[in-house]
Amino acid sequence: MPSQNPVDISVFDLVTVIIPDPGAGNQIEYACPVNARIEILYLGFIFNTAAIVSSRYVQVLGVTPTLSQTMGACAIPQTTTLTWGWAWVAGLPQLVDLSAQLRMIIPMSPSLVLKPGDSLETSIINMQATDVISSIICRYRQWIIA
Amino acid sequence: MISISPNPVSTKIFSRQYYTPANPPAANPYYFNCPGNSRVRISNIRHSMSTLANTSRCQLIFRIPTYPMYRICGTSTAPAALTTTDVHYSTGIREHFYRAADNVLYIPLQPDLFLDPGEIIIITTEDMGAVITIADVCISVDQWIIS
Repeated sequence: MPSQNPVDISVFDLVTVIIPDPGAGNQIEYACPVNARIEILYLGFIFNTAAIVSSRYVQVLGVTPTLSQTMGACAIPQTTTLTWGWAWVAGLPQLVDLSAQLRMIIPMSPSLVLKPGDSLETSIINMQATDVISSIICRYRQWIIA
Repeated sequence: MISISPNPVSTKIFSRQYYTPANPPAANPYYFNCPGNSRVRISNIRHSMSTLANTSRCQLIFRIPTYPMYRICGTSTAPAALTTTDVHYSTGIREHFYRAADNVLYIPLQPDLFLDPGEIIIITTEDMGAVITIADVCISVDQWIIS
């Protein structure tokens, strides 16, 4: 069911939120506030990979109750026993490969819009039970709709 | 922890401002503090970067005091040693471009880099140290007065 927008999109709040660590082996899952529409501008986190040989491929998803859409993905894998800082930036046209410096700056869709009931999530392919995501920060535009 | 900055104004009506601050001390980043009464959207940042024997990769860091800092933009290209490079971060350009012969470096900037009062952009490098000097900073912004 479509959701109408009762507000002027040119008037918005800027919100920065620290998302609690999800615990070892778990992905990020941030639920859209119940009274707001949001548009993700940035997602940053630290990803620590355990000593289990595997290539982890990081993706960012917009998830609704009926479907999930990949809004950003990185073809460069994070391998074993590494701690990288990941920065997902809406609208950035090019990946900035700083893997030698243990960080990546990755393009993300500029229209990752979520409404109540939706969530922002990571989907890390080959994530292991002892891999850990931490220090998660997210910035978004917000329109109060209720 | 959450930081919310309400915006009472429409983004359709704005002024264009240019900031040309004094140079930061040698071996220091430059900190651009959003004006206390404004929301700004950064359109372009230009600065020079002088290197000695070592060099470093240019980066922008976003910061809200008491929050973790995060990198929002950068390049994997390190300008040559013993040069002064004109560095341009620009919205709308599609690709990194570095031409050592002309000492220019262009870096794509995200389109919606908004700052509210209290928020900071740090113009720096991956390994900012005594060998790197940032100078001649010029920042173009769209600005909305919000108080």
